[in-house]
Amino acid sequence: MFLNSGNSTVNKIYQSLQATKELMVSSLIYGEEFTGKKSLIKQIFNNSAWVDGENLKDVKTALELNSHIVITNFEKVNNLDILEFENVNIVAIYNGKTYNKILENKFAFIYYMPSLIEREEDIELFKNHYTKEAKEIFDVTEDINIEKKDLDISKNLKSLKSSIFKTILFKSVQKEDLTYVMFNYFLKHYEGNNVYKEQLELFEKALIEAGLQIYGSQLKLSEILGINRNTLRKKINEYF
Amino acid sequence: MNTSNGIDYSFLLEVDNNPIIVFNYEGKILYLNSSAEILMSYVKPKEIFKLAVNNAPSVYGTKTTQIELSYNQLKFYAVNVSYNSDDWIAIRLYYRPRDKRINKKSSHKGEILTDINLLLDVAITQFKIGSSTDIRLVTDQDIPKTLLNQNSFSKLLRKCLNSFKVASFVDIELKLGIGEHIIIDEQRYPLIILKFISNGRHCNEDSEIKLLSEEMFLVSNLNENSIEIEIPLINK
Repeated sequence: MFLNSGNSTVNKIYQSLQATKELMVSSLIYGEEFTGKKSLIKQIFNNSAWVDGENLKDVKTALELNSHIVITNFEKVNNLDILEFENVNIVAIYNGKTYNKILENKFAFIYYMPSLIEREEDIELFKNHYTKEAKEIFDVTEDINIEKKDLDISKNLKSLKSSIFKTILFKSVQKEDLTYVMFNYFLKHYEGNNVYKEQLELFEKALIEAGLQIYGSQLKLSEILGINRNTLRKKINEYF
Repeated sequence: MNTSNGIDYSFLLEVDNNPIIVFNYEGKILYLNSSAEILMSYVKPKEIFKLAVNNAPSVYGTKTTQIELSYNQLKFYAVNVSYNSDDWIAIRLYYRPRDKRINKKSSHKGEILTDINLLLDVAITQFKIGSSTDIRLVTDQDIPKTLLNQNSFSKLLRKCLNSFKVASFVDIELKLGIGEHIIIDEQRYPLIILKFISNGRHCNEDSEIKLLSEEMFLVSNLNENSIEIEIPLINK
């Protein structure tokens, strides 16, 4: 699904490509993976024939049979010379931050899709969109505040979505969910002769870390936990 | 703006196909239209001023003189000199209608009837993405469709525009060449003229622009600050 971007470059790309829809021209859109290139093209060229660039034979056949064609994963096309671009409307989606001279000479129009880091306004837009989606999926009704530090845009929309889903999932988890998750984890990690001590960390580390965040002082926390101050200090030294 | 009855006469002068230049009494240029800007890349203003003075009417008024002039590929057959004050003198040079011949051998690979304005629109929109160059377009929206390879022509447009990326502005003009023809395979066709004029240009892709034009049987004139493409109007 394509959201109306808040970024002016993306909007200009959309308008320009929209104007090529009825022309017999070739356009290349390039940029990092998961920047929304495919969604944007789908919005305009949904009725074109779509073909994966990985299979050159399919691309060649599609070019012979169709007047409008979208080629995905164009970076995987290994022999451009055999592709005939005359009298066909082509949009090629290319995953990569640069393109070479051969591509430059092959295509009529070339567009660079900015990465998410270059589209600050879109991060907020997609954050809200994915948050809503995740809350619906996980049936969360309460307000969940997702902080900037929780967002991962290293792989653009893919990592952003994943980080939001994880955050919402983790923040909405119930006691029985935790027990279930730990049960499954233990099923796979029940080896050796020191399992109790080794796996206790899973519980203790998180418990102490959260307590320190809430109460700040170790003295107060030891009171709340109902354990000796020296025992707490020993565990902190062990885990952190 | 010089207007009378709401008519912008300076605009008419600006888009005139023929070069128009106004000098002061010392030969300093007071005004030149876009066509004259192209001429000025081939000839010094002093030479044109001399031409104006030599062909000026003896009293205030206007005088047309038939004269064969040639500045590189620019050919003229007459000049008109006018003045009604001792402060300025204007000269207009008349382009000689050209009869060019191209042997195309009936090759029409990938050519379809095309509205050049549409392709130009897309090329400009694409160029504007990430470019701060100011584009001013004067176009004749009624130019008939012509047979063109849309993909190759779009590539040509992109390369032409990209050569102006360093410029602060580009004036683009698209119009029918009045009285200008080209002969292709012994058939006579009118010309569509596309001009890009600016204050600076990268010329490193000029050989590619030339090659693309030649492949499409178009005539391209590339200068330091301008590009002119002549496109035969073929719609049969």
